[in-house]
Amino acid sequence: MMVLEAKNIKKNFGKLEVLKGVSLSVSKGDVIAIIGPSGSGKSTFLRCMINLEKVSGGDIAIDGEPVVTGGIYVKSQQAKDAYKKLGMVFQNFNLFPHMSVIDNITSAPIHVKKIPAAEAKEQARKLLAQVGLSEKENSYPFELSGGQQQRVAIARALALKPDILLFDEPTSALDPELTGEVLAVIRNLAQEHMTLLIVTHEMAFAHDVANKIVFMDKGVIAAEGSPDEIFCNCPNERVNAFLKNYNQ
Amino acid sequence: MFWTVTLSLLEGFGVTAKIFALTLLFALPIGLIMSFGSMSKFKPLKWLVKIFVWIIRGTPLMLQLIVIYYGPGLIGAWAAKLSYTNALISWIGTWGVPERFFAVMVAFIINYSCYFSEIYRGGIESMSRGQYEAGQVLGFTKIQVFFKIILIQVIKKILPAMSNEIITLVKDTSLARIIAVYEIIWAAQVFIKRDGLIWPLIYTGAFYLVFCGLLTLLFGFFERKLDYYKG
Repeated sequence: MMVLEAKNIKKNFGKLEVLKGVSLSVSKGDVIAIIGPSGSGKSTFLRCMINLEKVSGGDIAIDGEPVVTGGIYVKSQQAKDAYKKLGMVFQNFNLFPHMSVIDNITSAPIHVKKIPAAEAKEQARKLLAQVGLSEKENSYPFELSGGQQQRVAIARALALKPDILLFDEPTSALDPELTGEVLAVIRNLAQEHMTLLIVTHEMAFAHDVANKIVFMDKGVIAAEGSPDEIFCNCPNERVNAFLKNYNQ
Repeated sequence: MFWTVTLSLLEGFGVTAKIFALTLLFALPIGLIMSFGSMSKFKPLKWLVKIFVWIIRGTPLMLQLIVIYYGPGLIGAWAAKLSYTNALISWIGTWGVPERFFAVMVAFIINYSCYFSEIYRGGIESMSRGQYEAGQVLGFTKIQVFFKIILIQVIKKILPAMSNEIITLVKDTSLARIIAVYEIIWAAQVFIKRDGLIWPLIYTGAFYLVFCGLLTLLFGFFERKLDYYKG
């Protein structure tokens, strides 16, 4: 079964048509990289999947549960709960500045999932070890580098044990020398067969880590396929032109 | 004489402190509710609150005191026929609060709620959208997002503006005298009228200074308490 299925998603901001019918199916264990020029609608599409933007039309089903049908949001508890299967990592981390690293990670498990604090803490420590920040559990976000903050944000998203993790340009706000540590964490998740949907400008990374590349342009999917199909012998001129710009 | 004056002024200052404390007790939460109104997506409510805030901030507190104290009496001439206003007045009467003091409290609470609401609004609107979005995708309800994520950050941001406004409130309490509510300035004026002494009036300054000094220390303490994080 598809863990996430979006059909013919449309999104307007006023008169501006940002998404003109985008369809995407995500199976369990998929690592999908969404690439494309700025303004192509890739971030908007991702944000529509997790209800940060309201779609103007189309269907979305999470784990078989319809949450949007024909552009109308389903108002059931099941639909609401379905969103809990999605986790999200933002470009600007959006850690809670007033909470220590460990509190950032445990707050949702404790207050949303109602997990006992001790258990949530134990789990958070495991996640911190996983992202290589065990010694930072009592630090505050302002004391961390951008790369460290993003790794905490990934741990925070993982603490809710999502079925799919969405990344919205996770390294775009980082200094170039800090992107590697964040990409390494994402790569590990991919190797553990976590289902990932990643909007990124890191072409080499996308090539490496994804099993499917989606190229978006002007609100539509202009090309999709395996990394080798997209990056090596792509018949699409627009993709080639875009990639050429990147390789320079 | 010094002790007589001091005791008398202390008594007056008790009323000053009472106006101050009751105003904060009510205006801090009411201001928060009003700030939600002024940020509401429901336009009529938003404009109603904005116009109300404009009127209250745009007229002197002294005038508001007079209108609130004498206004009902003027309206009362024709409203006396309406049984529900009488019922309201006699109900308020059962609280055992002198009506002058009651009018002062109404005026101060309304006035300061408006100022506080604007401070809250500024603080809340300065929060980045990302904080709300992060809360949402983690499954927090809107109420949880506000109380667990937004509020403490807003408090840190608005603390300097709040302390300014609260220190102003201390001194504004002296306006209560306008509708003959006994407070510290009034207490001092008794000595001018009765004994021809001017120094008790000047002496009141010491009470305000000490009180504001303590408040400054208190706010400094809160600011340091919230200094553990940045951003």
